[in-house]
Amino acid sequence: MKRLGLYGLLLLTSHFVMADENSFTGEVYVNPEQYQGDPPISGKMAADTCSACHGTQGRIFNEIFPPLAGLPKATFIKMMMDFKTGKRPSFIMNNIARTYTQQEIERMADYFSRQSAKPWFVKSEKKA
Amino acid sequence: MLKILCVLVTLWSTYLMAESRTGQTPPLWTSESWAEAIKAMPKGDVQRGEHLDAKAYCATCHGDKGVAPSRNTPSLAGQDPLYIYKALMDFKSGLWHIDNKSLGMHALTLPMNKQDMADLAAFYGVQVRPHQTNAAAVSAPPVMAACTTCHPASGDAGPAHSGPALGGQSVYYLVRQLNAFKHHRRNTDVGGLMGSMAQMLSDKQQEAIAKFYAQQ
Amino acid sequence: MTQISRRELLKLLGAASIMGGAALRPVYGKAAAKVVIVGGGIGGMITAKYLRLINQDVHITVIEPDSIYTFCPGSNDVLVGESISDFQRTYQHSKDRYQLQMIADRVKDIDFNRKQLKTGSGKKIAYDYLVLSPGPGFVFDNIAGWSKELADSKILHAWKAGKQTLMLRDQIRAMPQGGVMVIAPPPMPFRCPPAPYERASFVAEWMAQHNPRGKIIILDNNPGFVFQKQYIKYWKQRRAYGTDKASIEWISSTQGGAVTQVDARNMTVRIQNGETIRADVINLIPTNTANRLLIRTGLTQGKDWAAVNHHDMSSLVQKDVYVIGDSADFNIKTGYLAADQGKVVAQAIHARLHNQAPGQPLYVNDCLAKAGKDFGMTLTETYREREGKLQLAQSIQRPLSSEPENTFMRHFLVAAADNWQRSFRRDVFD
Ligand SMILES: Cc1cc2nc3c(=O)[nH]c(=O)nc-3n(C[C@H](O)[C@H](O)[C@H](O)COP(=O)(O)OP(=O)(O)OC[C@H]3O[C@@H](n4cnc5c(N)ncnc54)[C@H](O)[C@@H]3O)c2cc1C
Ligand code: HEC
Ligand code: HEC
Ligand code: HEC
Repeated sequence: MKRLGLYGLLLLTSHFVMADENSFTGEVYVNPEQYQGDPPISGKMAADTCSACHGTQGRIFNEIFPPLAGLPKATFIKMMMDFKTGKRPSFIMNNIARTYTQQEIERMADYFSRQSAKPWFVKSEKKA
Repeated sequence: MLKILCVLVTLWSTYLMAESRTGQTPPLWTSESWAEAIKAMPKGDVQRGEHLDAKAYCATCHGDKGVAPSRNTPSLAGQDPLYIYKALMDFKSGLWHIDNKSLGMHALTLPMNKQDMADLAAFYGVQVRPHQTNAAAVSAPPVMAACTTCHPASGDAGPAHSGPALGGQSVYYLVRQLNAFKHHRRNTDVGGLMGSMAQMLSDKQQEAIAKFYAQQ
Repeated sequence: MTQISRRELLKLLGAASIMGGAALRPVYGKAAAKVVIVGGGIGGMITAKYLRLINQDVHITVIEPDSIYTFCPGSNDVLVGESISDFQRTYQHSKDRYQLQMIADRVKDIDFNRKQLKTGSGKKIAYDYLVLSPGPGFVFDNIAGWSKELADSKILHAWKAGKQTLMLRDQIRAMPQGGVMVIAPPPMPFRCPPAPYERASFVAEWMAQHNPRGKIIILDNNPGFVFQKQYIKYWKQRRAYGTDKASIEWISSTQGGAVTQVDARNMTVRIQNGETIRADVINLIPTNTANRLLIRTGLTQGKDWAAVNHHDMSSLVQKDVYVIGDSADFNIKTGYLAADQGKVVAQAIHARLHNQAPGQPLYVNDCLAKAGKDFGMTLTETYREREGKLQLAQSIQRPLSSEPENTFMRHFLVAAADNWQRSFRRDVFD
């Protein structure tokens, strides 16, 4: 339990606030499993919501955000589920992982494992 | 097909060369400045280190007790504490800036003082280094003879702090570092020694060595 | 070699070369559809790229008057000294790699029956599918004394990054010691809800160094704002917020903060509670609506935003028309969401070209914002769709107000915010 850290605990015990509450305070959360019965979101559609950070097809190799392309399925799923449950505390990824259902995570794992582990584009943006 | 490959290789190397380092470069290490720094290193406190590891979320990327969960980040468990301490100082000063990937460590070390760094180093130092199970499956390429005085084939750290442990790191991480040394994008090594070692290696040799250490 | 058709070969070459960043060569069939995209901003360019990646048998045309796109994300950093060229991109690379036809022109009118666009230079452009991502429209006449002309010259908004960003930067630099800057956010919704407060926060940080007695007054059309708790906490710590030494003051709409009138000659603004405030820099952010083009062509049905089916972002008014980005009816307007929407549209058009139903969409807004060089924040906001309507499924911020201070998190999230800007630009334009 100690390893979970404070945020992990917050995640585990967190209340499920109804979605119509004021979102300014940033505490709206609907368990995604509630959308289980909806038409499935494809692995690509879900994975494309990550590309603004992790790069097109998860292929950004020279940034803080780690590349996802070519990660073995099992590794990816374990990391995402650990983020989702809070077992692996993160400043950013816990909330992101909690957005997706387990099935969506599995579909994304499938998608990313099939992407080439090469940079998407080799051009340099100017240095930070 | 060959043409395409050539283009790919050229593009890949331009990519590695593309970004230059930030503004002013902090001074390179000399054996004198490094000896001074060792003298000034505070004694590390394992428990404080554990607390800092949790507070700074190091485990997010480096894994529980410093055992990396993926290829993307190096393991810290069982690493030579002096090396960890040095790495943290180099991130903070900006000397370790291979490309923007190094900026995450830069941001996380900004709030640290020397005591924090020594404590974290002590904490990872007492963890068990990850060992791979099929060490026998790969054999050491001959060129590795140039490395083993400082990076023993066991994968452990070299004697008398001569070199960090490489065992159990991912191929991806090791190749990234070797390329960075080779192309002078990582100039953290005291006296530029690792740089000259890395310059000897072809891409194939890099890969073979990395594969060997990764399995230790 | 003879076994393989030219088309297949080209496809193979395309697949190989894309890894190195070389061009994707489409092979158009005779019946290849014409997709025309209006606006080469975030929404437009993402749609073009992501459509090309899944479909090499479609003509993609982008109409954009400017030759350089300046990203708004990051433009607040330019106000306090970052170089604007870091945030700019030209279209050449996208054009070559994704085989786009770029037309440097402005769309003036749309004939939905003929499926044809008319441009400023008089060109007529036919489409099979039309994607509209022209950014927002700005309203100036709801503040007495303001006009588009003034907004371009003296009372700037800098809510479209570019020339105005540099002009506002120069105004801030030219402020006298102890001067006052007013920042006035419009009523929600407007593009990038945290950006006015981020702007205030950055300028205050800059002032602490260059104009220590300078002051910023936020005159708000809203009773509250996103990341409010975090910003106010930070301002209390760093900007003496709430004391008479404060370098940031915020007057909410409940306190009558909304600007009703501006006097550009005397550099004063009048706010709802009757007060008149003198300032050296007045930065009014105009009320946002759908782009004028969409209002004029009836896509907004007389309302502020273009009505869309959130299942695929298709217009509820006209067939084969999609509206995305800041002009579309969507709870929140950000670049992140404009990009998500573009990907949804790419998927939808591709499906339709194959006589399939568009797949289920997902919209996630993972925002990273900064309050200063040592304080970053993040927000994850998810919208799912049911029966054409959005459902807010998640909106959670870090740091939570219930969390203890964590200096590591603060620093890391700043680096992550900068990283996001870079990787986002690359996702849109590379
Ligand atoms: C200061 C500031 C900071 C921001 N920070 C962030 C941030 O951190 N994160 C985030 O997600 N979002 C941020 N945003 C919001 C983001 O910039 C917008 O939401 C996003 O640009 C919307 O994309 P779009 O395609 O709708 O419009 P735009 O990107 O504005 O593109 C519209 C394009 O259409 C062109 N155009 C307009 N009319 C016509 C016409 N008639 N014919 C042809 N072309 C036309 C324009 O020239 C323009 O290039 C910020 C905005 C501002 C102002
Ligand atoms: C706002 C930026 C952002 C977005 C969006 C984002 N991530 Fe991340 N991701 C990060 C950061 C930063 C890290 C590094 C670890 C950390 O600090 O959480 C990370 C780490 C990860 C890791 C761990 C990788 C490793 O090797 O350790 C995985 C897996 C991951 N992200 C998956 C995803 C997926 C899948 C999505 C989309 C559903 C996504 N991320 C969206 C920022 C982001
Ligand atoms: C966002 C992910 C992330 C987090 C969080 C993170 N690191 Fe790192 N760390 C990295 C990456 C990536 C590298 C390799 C950097 C490079 O190659 O430029 C690295 C490298 C290191 C190294 C050098 C290791 C070696 O073998 O040379 C040390 C030491 C280190 N990190 C310590 C820490 C500590 C201590 C923390 C917590 C304060 C931490 N890291 C948190 C991603 C992270
Ligand atoms: C004379 C001692 C010495 C020799 C020989 C040597 N190294 Fe090193 N190596 C070092 C030191 C010291 C460092 C740490 C540099 C620093 O301070 O950043 C290092 C760092 C490295 C790293 C980065 C480790 C990390 O965790 O980031 C790699 C990889 C590496 N060496 C590989 C090699 C290989 C491969 C060879 C043989 C071709 C080699 N080294 C030969 C001393 C040596």
